[in-house]
Amino acid sequence: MDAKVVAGALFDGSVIALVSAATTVCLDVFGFLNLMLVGAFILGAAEEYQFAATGAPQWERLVAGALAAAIAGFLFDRFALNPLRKRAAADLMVAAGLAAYLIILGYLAVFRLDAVATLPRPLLSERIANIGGFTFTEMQALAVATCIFACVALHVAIYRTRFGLGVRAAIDNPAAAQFMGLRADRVPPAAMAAICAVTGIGGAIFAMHAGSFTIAMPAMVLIAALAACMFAPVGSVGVAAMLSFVLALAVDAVSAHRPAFSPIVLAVVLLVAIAIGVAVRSKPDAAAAKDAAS
Amino acid sequence: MIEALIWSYISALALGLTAFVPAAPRRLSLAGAGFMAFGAISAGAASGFAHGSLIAQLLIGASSAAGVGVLVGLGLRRLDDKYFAVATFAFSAVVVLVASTDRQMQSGVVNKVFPHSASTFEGVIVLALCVGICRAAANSWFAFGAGALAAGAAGVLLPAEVALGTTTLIQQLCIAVGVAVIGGRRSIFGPLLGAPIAGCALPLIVIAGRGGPIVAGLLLIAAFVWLPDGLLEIAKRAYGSFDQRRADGAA
Repeated sequence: MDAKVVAGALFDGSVIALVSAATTVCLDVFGFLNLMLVGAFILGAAEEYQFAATGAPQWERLVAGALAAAIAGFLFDRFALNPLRKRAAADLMVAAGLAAYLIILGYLAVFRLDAVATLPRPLLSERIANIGGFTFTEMQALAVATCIFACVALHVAIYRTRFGLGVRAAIDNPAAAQFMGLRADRVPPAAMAAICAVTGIGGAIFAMHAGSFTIAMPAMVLIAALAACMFAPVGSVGVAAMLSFVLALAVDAVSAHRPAFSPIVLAVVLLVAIAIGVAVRSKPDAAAAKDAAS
Repeated sequence: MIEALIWSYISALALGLTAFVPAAPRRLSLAGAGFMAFGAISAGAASGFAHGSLIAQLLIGASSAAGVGVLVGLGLRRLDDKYFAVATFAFSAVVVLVASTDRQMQSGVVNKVFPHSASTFEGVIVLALCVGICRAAANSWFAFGAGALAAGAAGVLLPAEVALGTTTLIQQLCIAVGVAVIGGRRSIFGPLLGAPIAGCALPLIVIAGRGGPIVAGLLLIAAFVWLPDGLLEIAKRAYGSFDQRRADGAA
């Protein structure tokens, strides 16, 4: 396989991996499909563009994207999800995620970040390195390194620390968590902020690559991230990220070697993959329901 | 203006009927925008057979969306609530991607594919028929397909409304979910009641100014938090307590 295709796939895989890691953690810990993450993605991208226009260095643009998405996630959980969680209304949480996306669109419109903008990309991003015949740009290396760092940080924060335990305790039983001294109204919003920050980084990385900015997440990124999520065990950040890289590699290889291959076919293949993943995942629940009934 | 509002109502109600799963009111389907796009694509693809007849295109678009709806509904029946949302959203995202890649939808051929734009009266009649079918099928295995039928018909009647990207997809889903939740999800009359608010008033707020989407989003979240059962349940409870007081007074 062409090394250039592999380098491109590593970049695309990084963006997909960040979205799928955030989605799978949200499904596992919060128990619902958070479509506000699509908003966090475009917020990260928009902030990256704003900072790029001022000539800020790459790390500042990434931090700005992550921070904006984290603040949005914190506010979303604190004011929308917290009251709905008390009623155990997971269906309305999905609906609230859609409404939060609308609010982000409004925020972008108010601060005029929604206009299509084209920025000349600094030469730094296009600097090329060559290691053992494998050629890649600095931006591709930055994307992969940031993705690995963000995914590991998210995994450690949610699954390997007392904070993560506190998040799950506060979501499963807020009253008991409060008796144990946890701030049940602060811990889950902080976790949601971390999840949205990871998606915001994905948006910022994507925007660094894109020549012009439009307020939308590419549908293929979204579908591939969902497919990776559905095949990975719920909450497994590592497997979801690995599958994202595999999917990106497969999609880019097919597009490179068979240019006539329609994206429609790819999308339908991914939909079938999601359907299989969902069907496999639903089996234990059905069996548990049967057991409970018997 | 009134005609535009009626069309907004038709589009919102059709989307709301897909988000509404009467047999499982705590489930929200996000497949509405996908069914709408599917109806438009299949009617466009079969335009050669339809010979410009609106009724033929409606039959093709609505019945193909209903067929897919039945299949999707049967497949999703045993799913956990969160995976139900994932599967229906993935369906919509893929169909919208297909619609946006399809040259017929993109290059203005829509005008050739749909030569007879429907009158408001025709739109109302078609929607009334769809509501009737949804009511008849409310508690049967065909319920999901009936909602898809309404969305498919709306896709043929309003091809310009078909979502062609993730942003428009999520905006349409906002309307669909808003109609179902604000109206109420336990009866077919819920979406009928929710459509003027979420389908007509909210879009007007969104286009009112740059901050319009913020106000609309906040109003939707407030409705989800404070009106989780919808206006219909509140009306039912109010009528129940009034009835009880009247009975007590008579006693």
